[in-house]
Amino acid sequence: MIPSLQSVAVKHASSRHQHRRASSGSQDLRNQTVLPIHMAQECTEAPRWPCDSVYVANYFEEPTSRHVGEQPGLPTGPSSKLARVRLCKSPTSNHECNKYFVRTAGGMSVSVPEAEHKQTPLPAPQLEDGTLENSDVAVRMPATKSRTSHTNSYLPISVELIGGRGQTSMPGDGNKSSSSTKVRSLPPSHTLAMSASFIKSYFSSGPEKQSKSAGSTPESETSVKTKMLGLWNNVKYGWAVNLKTNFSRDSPVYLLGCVYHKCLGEDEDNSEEEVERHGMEAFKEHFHSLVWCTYRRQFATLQDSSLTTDCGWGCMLRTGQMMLAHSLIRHFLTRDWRYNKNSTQGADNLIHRCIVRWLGDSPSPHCPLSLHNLVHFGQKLGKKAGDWYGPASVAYIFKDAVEMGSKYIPDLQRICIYVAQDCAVYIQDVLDLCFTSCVCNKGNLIKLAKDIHLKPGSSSSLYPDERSLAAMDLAPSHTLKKDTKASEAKYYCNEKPGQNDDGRSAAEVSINGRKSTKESQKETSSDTHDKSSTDEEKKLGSGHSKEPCAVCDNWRSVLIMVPVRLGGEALNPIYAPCLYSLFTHELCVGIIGGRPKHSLYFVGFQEDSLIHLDPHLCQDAVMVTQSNFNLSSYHCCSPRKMALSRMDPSATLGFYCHSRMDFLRLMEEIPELITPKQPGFEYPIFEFVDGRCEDSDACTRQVSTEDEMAACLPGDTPLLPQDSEEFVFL
Amino acid sequence: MRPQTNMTTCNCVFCCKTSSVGDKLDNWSINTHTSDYRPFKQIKTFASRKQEVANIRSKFPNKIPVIVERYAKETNLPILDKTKFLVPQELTMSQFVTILRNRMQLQSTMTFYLLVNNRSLVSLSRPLSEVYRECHDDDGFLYVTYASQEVFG
Repeated sequence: MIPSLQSVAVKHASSRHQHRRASSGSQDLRNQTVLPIHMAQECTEAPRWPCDSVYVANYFEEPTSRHVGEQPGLPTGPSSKLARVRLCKSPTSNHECNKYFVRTAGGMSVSVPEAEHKQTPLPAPQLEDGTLENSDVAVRMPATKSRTSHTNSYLPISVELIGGRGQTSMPGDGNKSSSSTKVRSLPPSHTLAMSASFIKSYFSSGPEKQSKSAGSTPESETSVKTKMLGLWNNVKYGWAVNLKTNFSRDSPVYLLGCVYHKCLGEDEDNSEEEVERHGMEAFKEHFHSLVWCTYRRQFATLQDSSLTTDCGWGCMLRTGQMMLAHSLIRHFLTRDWRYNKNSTQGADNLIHRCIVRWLGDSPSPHCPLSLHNLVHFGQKLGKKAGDWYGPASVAYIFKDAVEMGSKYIPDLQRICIYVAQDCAVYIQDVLDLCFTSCVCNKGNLIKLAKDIHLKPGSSSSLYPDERSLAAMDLAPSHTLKKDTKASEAKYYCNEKPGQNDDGRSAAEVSINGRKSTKESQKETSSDTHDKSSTDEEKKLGSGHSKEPCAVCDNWRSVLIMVPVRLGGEALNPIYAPCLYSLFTHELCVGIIGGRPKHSLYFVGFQEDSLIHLDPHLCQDAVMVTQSNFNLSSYHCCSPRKMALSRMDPSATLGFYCHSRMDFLRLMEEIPELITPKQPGFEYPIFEFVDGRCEDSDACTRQVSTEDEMAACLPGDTPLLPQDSEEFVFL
Repeated sequence: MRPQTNMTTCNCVFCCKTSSVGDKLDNWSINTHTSDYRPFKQIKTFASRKQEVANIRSKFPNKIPVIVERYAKETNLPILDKTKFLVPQELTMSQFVTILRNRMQLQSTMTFYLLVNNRSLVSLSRPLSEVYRECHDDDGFLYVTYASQEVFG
């Protein structure tokens, strides 16, 4: 049963009785160590559910409350939405059910007591006398009742939420609050309403799709269980509750180079086509099309650790995955592609599925961009699983991961990543990186893509065997229902079956297809891909190999990542217009950064708020090696906004250049956008520099040695004033 | 930390009070500052610093006195053994960065940013003389902070 707002309202009547019991039950909890946390600090504990006894989380909403919260003396204003959350678990997990307490710093509480409670409706809430017991509100969750007996060790049976003003109970004093010397302030009704809506909004419009399903079937119990778990994770990792984001009616919304306006679609005098392309519905569709990577749990154990989840530490890698996924979508499916969750057929869906598979959480070679591989490449930078990553390290990790992945998956040879060092994009370095032998025949996905986006069958009918191979690659672990599979593949790829083959190649199709599928079953697909691609090159590439190719221009698509630091403690406001303008440019694929300690993928803006995708939601890992895995958890339908002023100055900007022309355009148009307009301070955020990085390094080294020599000349120390000895001459 | 008067009198946009949020954050950073490293400005008085600059400028008019300090909350980058540098004025910022990187023996994948007056990134192609003219402190030094990137979880 899904509790609704009403049930919250009704059941808080029973607070007095139940809270007494709950608080006596939590007496021993308070004797445990409770880790003190500072206001502005978010949770850093790695989530190890079954064994640890104490969890601490912190969650805050308003940027201003952060500073207030730092100083214990200052009371938090009633209007601030500060909510600290502490989570504790009782040490006894044998007979009594596990308890979790979600507790903010003082004020009102919403507790969810143990499930074996009898449900006795009690009269009206007694809020008038302001004692500790009465300032708390209990909510029962009857749906968890039947789970108690065979409780899963990480199921939070009982959750207590205490929210509200933070001035009475401060970070470390959860232990002594049981002494009742402290009288907490009466919960203001608005905090009560807030918390009620907190819970209600979670249960009614959570990101998981089954939210609407009610009833007492076992399924709904598990869904409540997942929801409780999800709720726990949400508060723990600061994933804001799914409140409806409001978009202003007056100003346009920019999303990765596209502009949308809320007025469109409401007024009648707009042309239909305009509404379709720039209305709010189009915006939602666009946002929904972006690949959303979140924390996952219960995936295969990470190398050199016992972690099976990235909750609490992997968000920066996730935001990087999102940016790369978007670049890949642009590469294979163009910017105008939109995700349609209802259709599973068609080549574009296969490609989309394939891209998501590359990002899946599995150590298999079919997932070159999986968390496992990223963590592996992070070791080169001195990071290990469980560490926090910075936007620049993530850029280097992805560069390595894509490079390595291209050895396993030919499709990835078509794309590369360039990471700017010291805010300088060395043009010659980019050109060297991107110039390659003809990539027209590398990989199979692009053929599929051409089928959709060009005239179907026109260019690609030359290589039917490749295309079927592509389809086989897309379902690597699928066992051999080969004939149906092959015919399916043909169905996907060839919309005009009569046009494509002459019998001989059809035979090749099935042979190649069989070979590749069998081998991938043995998990030796790396060789398969290499072999098959070299075979193809032998077969087809003789005419293409040496001369510059007219189609691909011998150019690999490149994702240019520029790590920046836009200020010391906080974002320097002079850069705000630059950041906004980046989202209006179509070559920009967003910014990975975040607010302090909380990584986000920024994709657009409206007025002075940035629209972002937040990875801080823990979802179950998806078995992406299965052929028909569920894609729905990889897309987010609720856009969120964050004020630009809250943005952390550390970030990485991303630009995707599909062709050489795109890169030239980037060099031409971006410097204008990234230069602040303050007179006298026209320093761009980063620069395009001629030549290579090594050259300028060598040049600098020469300069420095020359100068050191020169500096030695006047260095007859007796003549110098005392102080100058401390100086270092350059 | 800079005295309030300096912030308003300096002609540099980076030193100006940009927002109330920034001020709060500055206070905040003082509170949580745990390292025993003392900023250069706290070691010496304004007068002695000014005197020092005057001395060194008279001896080396073509060199720019620069104070290079680690950002207060930086944890990844090492502390430089020296804080005072005399830099040829035609050196560009990017060359200066490379010299500092080499001194610290940083790998190319380590991020390293120079912040002038703890606020802003400066353009790397500009010569140091220009940066000095616009951003130097009242005592005559150019204060430069170095930092890497924050990490996120």
